[in-house]
Amino acid sequence: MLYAALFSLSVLALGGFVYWAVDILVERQREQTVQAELQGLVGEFRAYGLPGLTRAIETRLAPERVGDGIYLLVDGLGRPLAGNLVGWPNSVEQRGPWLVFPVERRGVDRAEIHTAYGIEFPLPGGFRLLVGQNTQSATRVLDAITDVFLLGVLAMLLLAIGGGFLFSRNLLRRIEAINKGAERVRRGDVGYRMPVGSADDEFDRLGANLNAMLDEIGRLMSAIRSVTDNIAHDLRSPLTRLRNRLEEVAAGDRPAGERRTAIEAAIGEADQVLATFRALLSIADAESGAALAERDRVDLSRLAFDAAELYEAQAEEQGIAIEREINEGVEATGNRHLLFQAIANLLDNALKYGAGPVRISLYATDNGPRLSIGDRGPGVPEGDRERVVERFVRLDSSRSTAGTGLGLSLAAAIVRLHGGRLVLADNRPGLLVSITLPVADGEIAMSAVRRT
Amino acid sequence: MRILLIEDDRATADFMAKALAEHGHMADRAEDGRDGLYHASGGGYDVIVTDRMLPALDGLSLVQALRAAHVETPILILSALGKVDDRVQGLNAGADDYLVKPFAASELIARIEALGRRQSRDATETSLAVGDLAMDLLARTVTRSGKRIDLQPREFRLLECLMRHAGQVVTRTMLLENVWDYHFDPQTNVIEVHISRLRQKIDRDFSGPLLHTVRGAGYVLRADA
Repeated sequence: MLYAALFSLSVLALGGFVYWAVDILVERQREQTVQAELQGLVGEFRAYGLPGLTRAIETRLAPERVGDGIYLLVDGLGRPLAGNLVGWPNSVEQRGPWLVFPVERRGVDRAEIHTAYGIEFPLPGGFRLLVGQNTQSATRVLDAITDVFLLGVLAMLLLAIGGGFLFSRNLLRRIEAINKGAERVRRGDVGYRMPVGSADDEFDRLGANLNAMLDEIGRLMSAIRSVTDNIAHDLRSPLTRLRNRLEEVAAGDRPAGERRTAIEAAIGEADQVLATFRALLSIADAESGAALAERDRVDLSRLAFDAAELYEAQAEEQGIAIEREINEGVEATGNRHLLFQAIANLLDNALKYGAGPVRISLYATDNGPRLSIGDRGPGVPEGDRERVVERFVRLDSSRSTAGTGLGLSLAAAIVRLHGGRLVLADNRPGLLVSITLPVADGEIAMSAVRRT
Repeated sequence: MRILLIEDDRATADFMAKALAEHGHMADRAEDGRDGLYHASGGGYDVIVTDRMLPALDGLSLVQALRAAHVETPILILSALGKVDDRVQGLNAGADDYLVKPFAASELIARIEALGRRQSRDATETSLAVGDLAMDLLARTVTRSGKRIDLQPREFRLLECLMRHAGQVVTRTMLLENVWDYHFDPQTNVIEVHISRLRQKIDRDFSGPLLHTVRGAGYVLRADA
């Protein structure tokens, strides 16, 4: 509505301007014509005297000449000698050199009074010449312009109001469709999706965006559901064993040594459950992004070296060599404890599920530090590589090995928290896990971390 | 040792007090932060153990208040808040150690005893000795019964940590934090292999083992087996 009003106003303004401009143009035209006529007639008079002038006026008033010209020649007593006025006009208004006076002209079916503009020119011997033009044509033109514009505004208003009504009704209908859709989803119809047209306008994009959001929520929900299922499953076994052992102890008729063993085993089971919870919480922390409030420069080379050294003793026990290919001075930005956890988990996995030799390599690339840990074990089939990063996913071949099934998930979550990527690949043979981290920040204020 | 326990959960406080008593320590208890601060300011404690989320005054503020008042008693924060940043916050507030709930009694006792010992330790020690095992901190050499034992740098630090806490249980996480300087959760007991290697070097060729494993808790270096 507002737009319609504004639009009409501007059309009116344009109309006014055109009216004004045409008016000025017509007036100027009229002045020029009258001046030219006057000069022409005065020229006739100078050349041929009064009879010449009379002749010239009569020529100009010949019936085949149409126009708005007004001519009048009067003698000293005011009697008209030639021209198309019955007498010298009575009510004359003087405007500069111009005389403004009413003239009567035959209209289509009756006499009409028009305003005329003229110039008086005195001739020798008391004769006076009046040359002018009436505004009949000009008025008609201006009237026509006014009519056209008023009609235009009216049509435009109607169009604007009608169109606006239709348009906003369409708009409201589409918003309402989305509203209803959201309502349906909220009421539990989580599979419902917004209608998306083919116009690819704002509404279609809004609908598509909402649908993408709903898809993502659905994906997250099913991920959470599967995690919950997995938690339930993976915790039920140790909790059941824990319960069984405690029952054994409670039965009571056992020698002290056996009781002690049963209790220690129970504590072991409880520790296993707690370890699983800890890992889950760590993953959740890393994924929430909250754990990196403090960021430091981390000497990745040192971390890789320390991790290799920490696991080397165990690897040797297993008869597996850890080959180091660690470049000095490779740095990253983040938390050294978390990054160490990630590296340790990968080494732990390589020793648990892989076979020797295990190779840990670290070097800086233009895209940031790259750390890889490769083993020569059975590897992970290509189709399973994305899956094994998820929580609790353990391939059947490794089910019998001790572990929470969270080590790789935690490593991946930590790497993501640091803005990096963890990728599993074929080591031909074996598994190659690569971590790429962002280039270390140039200037990081060293936060005061006290270490125990 | 006299220990102040600031903990609003009675079951946890009972559990801790009992465990401490079994190890020959005396525990006073406070159930909220203000009461805890009052007791702690009075002094006379060897170690203060405080929860983080407490009624009246939270644990972090309590630690800050004590440190501002120049009470230098070692403080161990015990909390369910176990993120890396939570830990850093606790240590930055002025605590000396940070233990996450749930915890094993052995871990708590080991850490409390380590803190109490830290207080009394002479910082300018140049040598350590446990039985016939001697460590020269300046020359960085180790001998047992006068016989030189060659250790890797990491093994040296491991032994140093154990010798500094001689007679006390040192847990695996304490070793990871003190010797390797990483606070993380090893999936497998990686420390065990390092200990057994160290054990081979310092115990195998000598009479009377010094390095003992305390089941379910950690390790202890002790002269009288």
